[in-house]
Amino acid sequence: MNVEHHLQAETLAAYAAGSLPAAMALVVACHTEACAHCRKELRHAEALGGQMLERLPVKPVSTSAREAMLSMLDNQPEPATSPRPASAAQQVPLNEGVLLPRALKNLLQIDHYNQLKWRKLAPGIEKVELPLTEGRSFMLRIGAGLAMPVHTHKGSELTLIMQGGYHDALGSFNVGDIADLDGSVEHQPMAFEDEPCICLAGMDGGLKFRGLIPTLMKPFIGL
Amino acid sequence: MTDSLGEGIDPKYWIDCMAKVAEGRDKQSFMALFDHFSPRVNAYLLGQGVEAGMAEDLTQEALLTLWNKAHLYQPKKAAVSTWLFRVARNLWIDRLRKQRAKVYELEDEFLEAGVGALDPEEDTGELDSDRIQEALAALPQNQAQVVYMAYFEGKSHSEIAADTGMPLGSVKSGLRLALQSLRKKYGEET
Repeated sequence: MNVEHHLQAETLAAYAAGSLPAAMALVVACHTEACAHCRKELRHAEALGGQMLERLPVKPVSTSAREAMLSMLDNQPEPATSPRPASAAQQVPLNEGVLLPRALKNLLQIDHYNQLKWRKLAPGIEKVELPLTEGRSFMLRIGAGLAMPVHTHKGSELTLIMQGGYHDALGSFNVGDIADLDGSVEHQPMAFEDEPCICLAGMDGGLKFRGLIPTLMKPFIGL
Repeated sequence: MTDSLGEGIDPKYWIDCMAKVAEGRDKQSFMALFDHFSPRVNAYLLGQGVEAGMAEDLTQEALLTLWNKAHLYQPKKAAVSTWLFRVARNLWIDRLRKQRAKVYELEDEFLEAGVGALDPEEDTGELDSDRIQEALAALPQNQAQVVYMAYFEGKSHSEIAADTGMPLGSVKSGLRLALQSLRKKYGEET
């Protein structure tokens, strides 16, 4: 697969940090499954996480926790020695066969595109709303040569082309390509003439963030 | 060793410890890893807003994962700190962000198969810790702040914008610039 449009580095960093809303994380997972370039970028973003872990001001666990840890070691099962799964074989190009990306299979508990329950949105346009409420996520199927309504977004939007493709003011988007856009972009994608376009969209628009995370703005050591 | 500062220890030392845990279930090596990494994993979890009791439990769980899965660790793919970062991240997501957990549980499978299993020939051993450290230290204050908030306060780009008063676009470009300067240090052509 020849992916031309990739994820922005800051989107991959947010995914690596675990801070991307579920609806967008889903799209990142589906794209990186098929895109070696972005997988490599993701490994770099995670390496940064590892480095920052090294540099955090330490917060030791209690002595009792240390002792408990030691005593647990003897009660662990011997590690399985089975060979690693040949996961390279799991990589299915998104446009070949009818298998869904792994993250979608896991979310919907189905395997194939033909198991999706499409609902008509407008003539020639169908939609599957995905069961994620942290952000918003859905799949769209746009008939060959049809245009989607012009739209802008409040927040960020990720769109992954899964079958067919479209073009808009930003260029041509083919299978595997991702449009990583923020709220400032107004666009009107139009499906290619020869086949319907299926895409997966995830956005954070209208998200209300819960106050779970305290403000802990300590100067970062050495920075 | 200047362990309390987290510097001065060659990352290769931890790779050796991992090998000893994997091959011989060596408790001494494990406890060396525990004593170095548990205060950091704990600090990371507390920074994500995990309540103190749960942070300690999850820290134990992360280190226990290391004990049980050390044989799956591949030094060419990631530093020990990076491997543990992923384990700890997936643990708090699993407990506190149920919806994200549905996506990240697949990342656990990658971990089981060795980080980067989809790219068996790819060697990311290039991620030299000293060079990343240097690059981090050289970041301008505002970029460092954005990187810190994204990674250690688990904040989304819009939350960072709201907290700092920076426009969303500046948050994103700050993060992007920071990653670019880090990538230069990896010696990567893009």
